[in-house]
Amino acid sequence: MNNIENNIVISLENVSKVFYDLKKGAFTALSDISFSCKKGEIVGLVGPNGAGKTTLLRIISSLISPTSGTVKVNGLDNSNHGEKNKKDIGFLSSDTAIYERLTGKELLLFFADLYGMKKDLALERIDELSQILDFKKIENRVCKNLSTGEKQKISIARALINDPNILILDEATNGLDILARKHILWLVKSAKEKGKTVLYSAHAMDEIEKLSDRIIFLYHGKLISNGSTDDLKNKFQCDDLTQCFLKNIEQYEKNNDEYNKNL
Amino acid sequence: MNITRIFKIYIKEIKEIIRTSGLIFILVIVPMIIYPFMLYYTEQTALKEKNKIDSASLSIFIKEPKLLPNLSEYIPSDEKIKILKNGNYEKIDKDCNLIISLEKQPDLFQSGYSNINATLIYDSTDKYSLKALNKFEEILLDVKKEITYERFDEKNIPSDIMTPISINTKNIASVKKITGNLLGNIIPFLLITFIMSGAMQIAVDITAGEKDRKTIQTLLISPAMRSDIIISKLLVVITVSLFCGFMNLLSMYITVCFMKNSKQILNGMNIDIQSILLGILVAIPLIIFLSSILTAIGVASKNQVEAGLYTMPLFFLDFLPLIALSSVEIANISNSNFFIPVYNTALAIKLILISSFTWQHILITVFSNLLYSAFFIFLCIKLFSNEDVIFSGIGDTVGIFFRKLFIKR
Repeated sequence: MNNIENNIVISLENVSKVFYDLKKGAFTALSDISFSCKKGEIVGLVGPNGAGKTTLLRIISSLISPTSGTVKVNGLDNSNHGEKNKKDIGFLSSDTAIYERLTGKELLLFFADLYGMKKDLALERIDELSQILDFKKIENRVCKNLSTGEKQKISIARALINDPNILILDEATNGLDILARKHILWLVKSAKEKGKTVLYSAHAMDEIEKLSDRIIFLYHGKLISNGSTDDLKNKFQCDDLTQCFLKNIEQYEKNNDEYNKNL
Repeated sequence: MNITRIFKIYIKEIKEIIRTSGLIFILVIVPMIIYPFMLYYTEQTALKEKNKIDSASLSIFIKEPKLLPNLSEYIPSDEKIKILKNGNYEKIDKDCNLIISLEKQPDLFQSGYSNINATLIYDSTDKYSLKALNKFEEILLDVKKEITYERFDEKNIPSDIMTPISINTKNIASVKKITGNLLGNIIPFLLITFIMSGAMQIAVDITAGEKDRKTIQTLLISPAMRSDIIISKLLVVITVSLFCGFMNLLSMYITVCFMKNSKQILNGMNIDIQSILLGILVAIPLIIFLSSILTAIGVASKNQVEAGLYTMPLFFLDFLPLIALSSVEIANISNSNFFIPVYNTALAIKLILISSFTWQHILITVFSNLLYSAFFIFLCIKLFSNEDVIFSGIGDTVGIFFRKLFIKR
């Protein structure tokens, strides 16, 4: 109830995730992560490879469960309401491929069906999305015959088919050309205009800086900073977000070394 | 469990399968066109070859023909056999199919008769030579019998002294039983082959294949429950297995109807509709069982290559019980036989075809297979709900499990 009153749509409390690897053994992918996202907020996740960004976004989307801690979407705990919470999330990543043997329209209708949308409503929504994303001409073509950019359009439409209030984008622009990347950036901007919450991870700092209301720095599975671009620039005394991140890491490593020495 | 959602995912999977040219080739083109064509072509070729051999003229060379001067009289007039009189043949080839080497044996018992040793020299890899051998073995037996009777006559001994026991055989097995016994060994073998060949590809494609194509995550982030997703996938595998099993058998049956030599088999089959329906009833739980194992393997595998490695031994393992089937003694079958998966169904189908089944056999077979299927369906759901298995595969998950055990110790 408190979350809803405060317009908090995503909240994480002490979320940790431990994976077991055949070679490395147990390793902590996420350690004690707590933060929240408000309605209409765009939150950028920044971190190097292996920082835990994908794991974090997968946990929020109920794809995997945390080892400990709580994740709530619209005030509902993922551990009990995972299936229900999924209905309010649109998830897009480089690992969410489309069914290449279906046509774009069939694929979108299939996912609309899974979201419990009526066929008339789904067709209307597909029509609306096809006009916005400009895929009307290709919607009846089998996806395997589409170009990467065209596939990306169908993929975005898939994530938006049920008009979710939360959008989670996990390095969705990776490996895409300028035109395909443009669609993702449009997606984030239009979501903001509609008052939707976006959780967005990318390696391109300029993108993050331009789009995000708030930025979270993740490093070695830990949340090391959380604030607006200006807050972070002031905190680390630099003009560039990349510089801020590097200073933050340096500071974190230093503190960590001192902590280890004291131990 | 949401039936509507299961149905929607099922339809999507079927649509994808229909659009996969490779899978359509395995599921439709192979059973409907390739297998019948191969069967028909093989039969026609064999028939042609047989006719060619039957109508061929055989050439025989006899060494020392003077020892049996009237041998040619015993050759039936309708046989195309040519006795080579000129030359000296030492090897078997197209000019000489058989060499009969006659040799006079010493009269060791001083009976006053001269006996002959006939050595038939042939080439077992040459069909014409084998045919000539068979013919002349028969002819020489006739000659031997004739000479023996002549000698008894000369000594005034009645010729029936040669036959103190007259052996007659009478097969009381009905034509249905004979053909049922034969088909009972073949049909389960064909059924398993057809089920596995189709279902294996599909089970791997819609489970491990989704991991390879990265579409599994797209499906998992939808609100569909994991149990709904995996049950719909399992239903797809069962549908394809049923389709493969029965379509292949039907296409085989239709092909056999067009085969000249098989008319005799078909006339003797005399399988009534009840037996067919009962056979299908017994086969369905086996199809569900095999489909659930294949789906579980697909889910547990990291990718299609790994799934292929796991399914191949299962394919061969399935044939072991069928090998035992041909040597089984129907009179000694106990109920415990009907608890052994695959073997139980093969045995039940055989008993149905020879009309020797009991309802107890059928019920044990059906329910034990359904029970094993339930276990594997439960395993499929558990595996599909396990994030480690979905994202890493069972190999790593099991490895990690043992590693954890080892670390704890």
